[in-house]
Amino acid sequence: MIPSPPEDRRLVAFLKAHQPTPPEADDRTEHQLMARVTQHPQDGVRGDRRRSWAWLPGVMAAGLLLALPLGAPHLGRRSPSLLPTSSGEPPQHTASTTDLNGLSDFLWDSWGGLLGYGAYGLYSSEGQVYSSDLLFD
Amino acid sequence: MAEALQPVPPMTADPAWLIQRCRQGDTHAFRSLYRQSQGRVRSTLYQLCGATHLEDLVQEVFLRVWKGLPNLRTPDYFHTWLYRITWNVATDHRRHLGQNPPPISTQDQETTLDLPIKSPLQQPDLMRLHYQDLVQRGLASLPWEQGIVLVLHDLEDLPQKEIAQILEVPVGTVKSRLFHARRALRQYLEVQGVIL
Repeated sequence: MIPSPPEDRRLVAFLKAHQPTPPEADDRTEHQLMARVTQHPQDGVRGDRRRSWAWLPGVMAAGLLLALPLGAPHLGRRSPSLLPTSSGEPPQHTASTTDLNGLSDFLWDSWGGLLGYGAYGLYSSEGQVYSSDLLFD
Repeated sequence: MAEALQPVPPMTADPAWLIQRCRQGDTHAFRSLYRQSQGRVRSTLYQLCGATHLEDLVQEVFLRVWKGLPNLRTPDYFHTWLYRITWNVATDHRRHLGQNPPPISTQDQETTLDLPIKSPLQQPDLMRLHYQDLVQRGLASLPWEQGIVLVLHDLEDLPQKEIAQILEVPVGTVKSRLFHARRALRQYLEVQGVIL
Protein backbone atom coordinates (compact mmCIF):
# COMPACT_ATOMS: atom_id res chain seq x y z
CA MET A 1 0.00 0.00 0.00
CA ILE A 2 1.39 3.38 -0.99
CA PRO A 3 1.63 5.75 1.98
CA SER A 4 -0.16 9.05 1.70
CA PRO A 5 1.94 12.09 0.86
CA PRO A 6 2.85 14.27 3.85
CA GLU A 7 0.54 17.05 2.73
CA ASP A 8 -2.39 14.61 2.68
CA ARG A 9 -1.53 13.36 6.15
CA ARG A 10 -1.41 16.91 7.46
CA LEU A 11 -4.74 17.71 5.84
CA VAL A 12 -6.42 14.60 7.25
CA ALA A 13 -5.02 15.31 10.69
CA PHE A 14 -6.40 18.85 10.51
CA LEU A 15 -9.80 17.59 9.36
CA LYS A 16 -9.99 15.03 12.14
CA ALA A 17 -8.97 17.59 14.73
CA HIS A 18 -11.60 20.06 13.56
CA GLN A 19 -14.30 17.74 12.35
CA PRO A 20 -17.70 19.39 12.73
CA THR A 21 -19.54 17.55 15.47
CA PRO A 22 -23.28 17.05 15.05
CA PRO A 23 -25.65 18.15 17.79
CA GLU A 24 -26.51 15.57 20.40
CA ALA A 25 -29.13 13.02 19.41
CA ASP A 26 -32.57 14.20 20.35
CA ASP A 27 -34.75 11.77 22.37
CA ARG A 28 -37.73 12.95 20.36
CA THR A 29 -36.11 11.63 17.21
CA GLU A 30 -35.99 8.14 18.67
CA HIS A 31 -39.58 8.34 19.90
CA GLN A 32 -40.85 9.62 16.57
CA LEU A 33 -38.87 6.99 14.70
CA MET A 34 -40.23 4.15 16.82
CA ALA A 35 -43.75 5.51 16.36
CA ARG A 36 -43.24 5.49 12.58
CA VAL A 37 -41.70 2.03 12.70
CA THR A 38 -44.78 0.57 14.34
CA GLN A 39 -46.92 2.13 11.61
CA HIS A 40 -44.80 0.93 8.67
CA PRO A 41 -44.68 -2.75 7.85
CA GLN A 42 -41.41 -4.24 6.73
CA ASP A 43 -40.93 -5.21 3.11
CA GLY A 44 -41.70 -8.82 2.40
CA VAL A 45 -38.70 -11.04 1.74
CA ARG A 46 -37.99 -11.04 -1.94
CA GLY A 47 -37.15 -14.29 -3.62
CA ASP A 48 -33.87 -15.21 -5.22
CA ARG A 49 -33.53 -14.56 -8.93
CA ARG A 50 -32.92 -18.26 -9.41
CA ARG A 51 -36.12 -19.05 -7.60
CA SER A 52 -37.95 -16.56 -9.78
CA TRP A 53 -37.26 -18.78 -12.78
CA ALA A 54 -39.41 -21.47 -11.21
CA TRP A 55 -42.51 -19.98 -12.80
CA LEU A 56 -41.11 -20.20 -16.32
CA PRO A 57 -41.61 -23.92 -17.04
CA GLY A 58 -45.21 -23.71 -15.87
CA VAL A 59 -45.95 -20.74 -18.07
CA MET A 60 -44.22 -22.39 -21.01
CA ALA A 61 -46.21 -25.56 -20.50
CA ALA A 62 -49.40 -23.53 -20.38
CA GLY A 63 -48.35 -21.75 -23.56
CA LEU A 64 -47.71 -25.02 -25.31
CA LEU A 65 -51.06 -26.37 -24.20
CA LEU A 66 -52.72 -23.28 -25.59
CA ALA A 67 -50.77 -23.62 -28.81
CA LEU A 68 -51.70 -27.29 -29.20
CA PRO A 69 -55.19 -26.73 -30.65
CA LEU A 70 -53.70 -24.39 -33.22
CA GLY A 71 -51.22 -27.01 -34.25
CA ALA A 72 -53.61 -29.93 -34.21
CA PRO A 73 -54.57 -29.64 -37.91
CA HIS A 74 -50.92 -30.05 -38.75
CA LEU A 75 -50.30 -33.13 -36.60
CA GLY A 76 -50.67 -35.53 -39.46
CA ARG A 77 -48.19 -33.69 -41.63
CA ARG A 78 -44.57 -34.58 -41.87
CA SER A 79 -42.21 -32.36 -39.89
CA PRO A 80 -39.63 -30.39 -41.79
CA SER A 81 -36.11 -31.69 -41.42
CA LEU A 82 -32.68 -30.09 -41.15
CA LEU A 83 -31.14 -32.97 -43.09
CA PRO A 84 -30.78 -32.63 -46.86
CA THR A 85 -33.66 -34.12 -48.71
CA SER A 86 -33.25 -37.01 -51.06
CA SER A 87 -33.96 -34.68 -53.97
CA GLY A 88 -30.97 -32.55 -53.00
CA GLU A 89 -33.02 -29.52 -51.99
CA PRO A 90 -31.67 -27.43 -49.10
CA PRO A 91 -33.11 -28.38 -45.70
CA GLN A 92 -36.08 -26.45 -44.44
CA HIS A 93 -35.63 -24.49 -41.23
CA THR A 94 -37.48 -26.10 -38.35
CA ALA A 95 -40.34 -23.97 -37.25
CA SER A 96 -40.62 -25.64 -33.85
CA THR A 97 -37.21 -24.46 -32.50
CA THR A 98 -37.59 -20.85 -33.56
CA ASP A 99 -41.14 -20.77 -32.33
CA LEU A 100 -40.10 -22.03 -28.90
CA ASN A 101 -37.28 -19.50 -28.68
CA GLY A 102 -39.61 -16.74 -29.71
CA LEU A 103 -42.18 -17.92 -27.21
CA SER A 104 -39.56 -17.92 -24.45
CA ASP A 105 -38.43 -14.40 -25.35
CA PHE A 106 -42.00 -13.21 -25.53
CA LEU A 107 -42.84 -14.66 -22.15
CA TRP A 108 -39.74 -13.18 -20.55
CA ASP A 109 -40.36 -9.76 -22.07
CA SER A 110 -44.01 -9.66 -21.18
CA TRP A 111 -43.94 -11.34 -17.76
CA GLY A 112 -40.47 -10.46 -16.46
CA GLY A 113 -41.34 -6.80 -16.09
CA LEU A 114 -44.28 -7.63 -13.86
CA LEU A 115 -41.86 -9.11 -11.33
CA GLY A 116 -39.92 -5.87 -11.10
CA TYR A 117 -36.63 -6.99 -12.60
CA GLY A 118 -34.81 -4.35 -14.57
CA ALA A 119 -31.43 -4.53 -16.17
CA TYR A 120 -29.63 -3.41 -13.02
CA GLY A 121 -31.44 -4.98 -10.11
CA LEU A 122 -34.57 -4.98 -8.12
CA TYR A 123 -36.53 -1.81 -7.55
CA SER A 124 -38.01 -1.24 -4.15
CA SER A 125 -41.27 0.46 -3.47
CA GLU A 126 -39.29 3.65 -2.74
CA GLY A 127 -37.57 3.76 -6.08
CA GLN A 128 -34.19 2.75 -4.75
CA VAL A 129 -32.12 0.23 -6.60
CA TYR A 130 -30.77 -2.35 -4.25
CA SER A 131 -27.66 -4.13 -5.34
CA SER A 132 -28.14 -7.84 -5.67
CA ASP A 133 -24.92 -8.52 -3.80
CA LEU A 134 -26.40 -7.18 -0.59
CA LEU A 135 -29.89 -8.53 -0.79
CA PHE A 136 -31.72 -11.80 -0.87
CA ASP A 137 -31.45 -14.83 1.32
CA MET B 1 -49.09 -4.66 24.71
CA ALA B 2 -47.13 -7.71 25.78
CA GLU B 3 -44.40 -6.70 23.36
CA ALA B 4 -44.17 -3.29 24.99
CA LEU B 5 -43.20 -4.96 28.26
CA GLN B 6 -40.19 -6.68 26.74
CA PRO B 7 -36.90 -5.04 27.70
CA VAL B 8 -34.89 -3.22 25.06
CA PRO B 9 -31.73 -5.25 24.35
CA PRO B 10 -28.60 -3.59 25.73
CA MET B 11 -26.39 -1.36 23.60
CA THR B 12 -23.72 -4.06 23.73
CA ALA B 13 -25.95 -6.69 22.14
CA ASP B 14 -24.46 -8.50 19.17
CA PRO B 15 -25.43 -6.55 16.02
CA ALA B 16 -25.92 -9.78 14.06
CA TRP B 17 -28.38 -11.01 16.67
CA LEU B 18 -30.18 -7.65 16.69
CA ILE B 19 -30.45 -7.69 12.92
CA GLN B 20 -31.85 -11.19 13.02
CA ARG B 21 -34.44 -10.10 15.57
CA CYS B 22 -35.29 -7.01 13.51
CA ARG B 23 -35.83 -9.17 10.46
CA GLN B 24 -38.49 -10.95 12.48
CA GLY B 25 -40.22 -7.67 13.27
CA ASP B 26 -38.82 -7.10 16.77
CA THR B 27 -39.10 -3.33 17.33
CA HIS B 28 -37.21 -3.50 20.63
CA ALA B 29 -34.21 -4.98 18.88
CA PHE B 30 -34.55 -2.25 16.26
CA ARG B 31 -34.46 0.43 18.95
CA SER B 32 -31.21 -1.03 20.23
CA LEU B 33 -29.81 -1.29 16.71
CA TYR B 34 -30.72 2.36 16.18
CA ARG B 35 -28.89 3.38 19.34
CA GLN B 36 -25.82 1.43 18.25
CA SER B 37 -25.72 2.83 14.71
CA GLN B 38 -27.22 6.30 14.82
CA GLY B 39 -23.94 8.00 15.69
CA ARG B 40 -22.22 7.25 12.40
CA VAL B 41 -25.38 8.02 10.40
CA ARG B 42 -25.87 11.29 12.23
CA SER B 43 -22.23 12.28 11.77
CA THR B 44 -22.19 11.49 8.04
CA LEU B 45 -25.47 13.29 7.39
CA TYR B 46 -24.28 16.29 9.36
CA GLN B 47 -21.09 16.57 7.32
CA LEU B 48 -23.06 16.30 4.08
CA CYS B 49 -26.30 18.15 4.79
CA GLY B 50 -25.79 20.34 7.85
CA ALA B 51 -27.95 20.57 10.93
CA THR B 52 -31.18 22.06 9.62
CA HIS B 53 -32.93 18.83 8.61
CA LEU B 54 -30.70 16.44 10.48
CA GLU B 55 -33.34 14.84 12.72
CA ASP B 56 -35.72 14.24 9.80
CA LEU B 57 -32.95 12.73 7.69
CA VAL B 58 -31.80 10.41 10.46
CA GLN B 59 -35.37 9.22 10.87
CA GLU B 60 -35.71 8.65 7.14
CA VAL B 61 -32.54 6.56 7.03
CA PHE B 62 -33.65 4.28 9.85
CA LEU B 63 -37.17 3.99 8.53
CA ARG B 64 -35.72 2.70 5.25
CA VAL B 65 -33.48 0.37 7.25
CA TRP B 66 -36.46 -1.02 9.12
CA LYS B 67 -38.45 -1.59 5.96
CA GLY B 68 -35.56 -3.10 4.03
CA LEU B 69 -33.96 -5.29 6.69
CA PRO B 70 -35.87 -8.45 5.79
CA ASN B 71 -34.13 -8.39 2.41
CA LEU B 72 -30.60 -7.92 3.71
CA ARG B 73 -28.72 -11.12 2.95
CA THR B 74 -25.97 -11.16 5.54
CA PRO B 75 -25.52 -9.08 8.70
CA ASP B 76 -21.85 -8.62 7.75
CA TYR B 77 -22.95 -6.16 5.08
CA PHE B 78 -25.16 -4.17 7.43
CA HIS B 79 -22.87 -1.20 7.86
CA THR B 80 -22.09 -0.97 4.15
CA TRP B 81 -25.81 -1.12 3.47
CA LEU B 82 -26.50 1.44 6.18
CA TYR B 83 -24.03 3.89 4.66
CA ARG B 84 -25.55 3.33 1.24
CA ILE B 85 -28.99 4.20 2.52
CA THR B 86 -27.51 7.24 4.26
CA TRP B 87 -25.94 8.30 0.99
CA ASN B 88 -29.25 7.78 -0.85
CA VAL B 89 -31.19 9.81 1.71
CA ALA B 90 -28.63 12.63 1.61
CA THR B 91 -28.72 12.64 -2.19
CA ASP B 92 -32.52 12.64 -2.24
CA HIS B 93 -32.49 15.53 0.22
CA ARG B 94 -30.07 17.46 -1.95
CA ARG B 95 -32.24 16.87 -5.02
CA HIS B 96 -35.24 18.03 -3.04
CA LEU B 97 -33.50 21.28 -2.17
CA GLY B 98 -32.30 21.76 -5.72
CA GLN B 99 -29.14 20.99 -7.56
CA ASN B 100 -27.06 23.46 -5.59
CA PRO B 101 -25.45 22.34 -2.36
CA PRO B 102 -27.44 23.56 0.63
CA PRO B 103 -25.94 26.70 2.12
CA ILE B 104 -24.95 26.61 5.73
CA SER B 105 -27.94 28.01 7.51
CA THR B 106 -28.13 30.31 10.45
CA GLN B 107 -28.95 27.30 12.61
CA ASP B 108 -25.82 25.54 11.41
CA GLN B 109 -23.74 28.57 12.25
CA GLU B 110 -25.31 28.78 15.67
CA THR B 111 -24.43 25.20 16.48
CA THR B 112 -20.77 25.89 15.87
CA LEU B 113 -20.25 29.54 16.68
CA ASP B 114 -22.88 30.78 19.09
CA LEU B 115 -21.13 30.11 22.37
CA PRO B 116 -20.59 32.73 25.04
CA ILE B 117 -17.04 33.93 25.48
CA LYS B 118 -16.35 34.29 29.16
CA SER B 119 -12.64 34.83 29.39
CA PRO B 120 -9.50 35.13 27.29
CA LEU B 121 -8.69 31.55 28.29
CA GLN B 122 -11.44 30.42 25.96
CA GLN B 123 -9.80 31.93 22.92
CA PRO B 124 -8.42 28.54 21.86
CA ASP B 125 -12.00 27.21 21.89
CA LEU B 126 -13.02 30.07 19.66
CA MET B 127 -10.20 29.21 17.28
CA ARG B 128 -11.25 25.58 17.29
CA LEU B 129 -14.82 26.59 16.46
CA HIS B 130 -13.54 28.82 13.71
CA TYR B 131 -11.62 25.91 12.20
CA GLN B 132 -14.66 23.63 12.54
CA ASP B 133 -16.70 26.21 10.68
CA LEU B 134 -14.05 26.41 7.97
CA VAL B 135 -13.99 22.64 7.58
CA GLN B 136 -17.76 22.50 7.32
CA ARG B 137 -17.82 25.25 4.73
CA GLY B 138 -14.97 23.60 2.87
CA LEU B 139 -16.85 20.30 2.76
CA ALA B 140 -19.94 22.11 1.49
CA SER B 141 -17.87 23.70 -1.27
CA LEU B 142 -16.79 20.34 -2.69
CA PRO B 143 -18.59 18.66 -5.57
CA TRP B 144 -21.18 16.28 -4.12
CA GLU B 145 -19.56 13.02 -5.25
CA GLN B 146 -16.16 14.14 -3.97
CA GLY B 147 -17.47 15.33 -0.62
CA ILE B 148 -18.99 11.96 0.29
CA VAL B 149 -15.76 10.14 -0.52
CA LEU B 150 -13.71 12.48 1.63
CA VAL B 151 -16.19 12.27 4.51
CA LEU B 152 -16.35 8.48 4.45
CA HIS B 153 -12.61 7.96 4.00
CA ASP B 154 -10.96 10.72 5.99
CA LEU B 155 -13.56 11.39 8.67
CA GLU B 156 -15.39 8.06 9.04
CA ASP B 157 -12.26 5.98 8.38
CA LEU B 158 -13.88 3.61 5.89
CA PRO B 159 -11.56 1.75 3.51
CA GLN B 160 -11.69 2.66 -0.15
CA LYS B 161 -13.01 -0.75 -1.11
CA GLU B 162 -16.04 -0.36 1.15
CA ILE B 163 -16.65 3.15 -0.14
CA ALA B 164 -16.63 1.74 -3.65
CA GLN B 165 -19.29 -0.78 -2.60
CA ILE B 166 -21.38 1.90 -0.93
CA LEU B 167 -21.30 4.21 -3.93
CA GLU B 168 -21.31 1.38 -6.48
CA VAL B 169 -18.31 2.78 -8.32
CA PRO B 170 -14.88 1.26 -9.06
CA VAL B 171 -12.15 1.65 -6.47
CA GLY B 172 -10.18 3.73 -8.99
CA THR B 173 -13.03 6.23 -9.07
CA VAL B 174 -12.91 6.47 -5.28
CA LYS B 175 -9.16 7.13 -5.41
CA SER B 176 -9.62 9.80 -8.06
CA ARG B 177 -12.43 11.55 -6.21
CA LEU B 178 -10.45 11.46 -2.98
CA PHE B 179 -7.43 12.99 -4.69
CA HIS B 180 -9.45 15.84 -6.17
CA ALA B 181 -11.45 16.40 -2.98
CA ARG B 182 -8.31 16.69 -0.86
CA ARG B 183 -6.67 19.03 -3.31
CA ALA B 184 -9.73 21.29 -3.49
CA LEU B 185 -10.22 21.31 0.27
CA ARG B 186 -6.54 22.04 0.88
CA GLN B 187 -6.72 24.98 -1.51
CA TYR B 188 -9.89 26.23 0.17
CA LEU B 189 -8.33 26.09 3.63
CA GLU B 190 -5.14 27.76 2.49
CA VAL B 191 -7.11 30.60 0.90
CA GLN B 192 -8.86 30.98 4.27
CA GLY B 193 -5.49 31.41 5.94
CA VAL B 194 -5.02 27.94 7.38
CA ILE B 195 -1.41 26.77 7.31
CA LEU B 196 -1.28 23.01 6.96
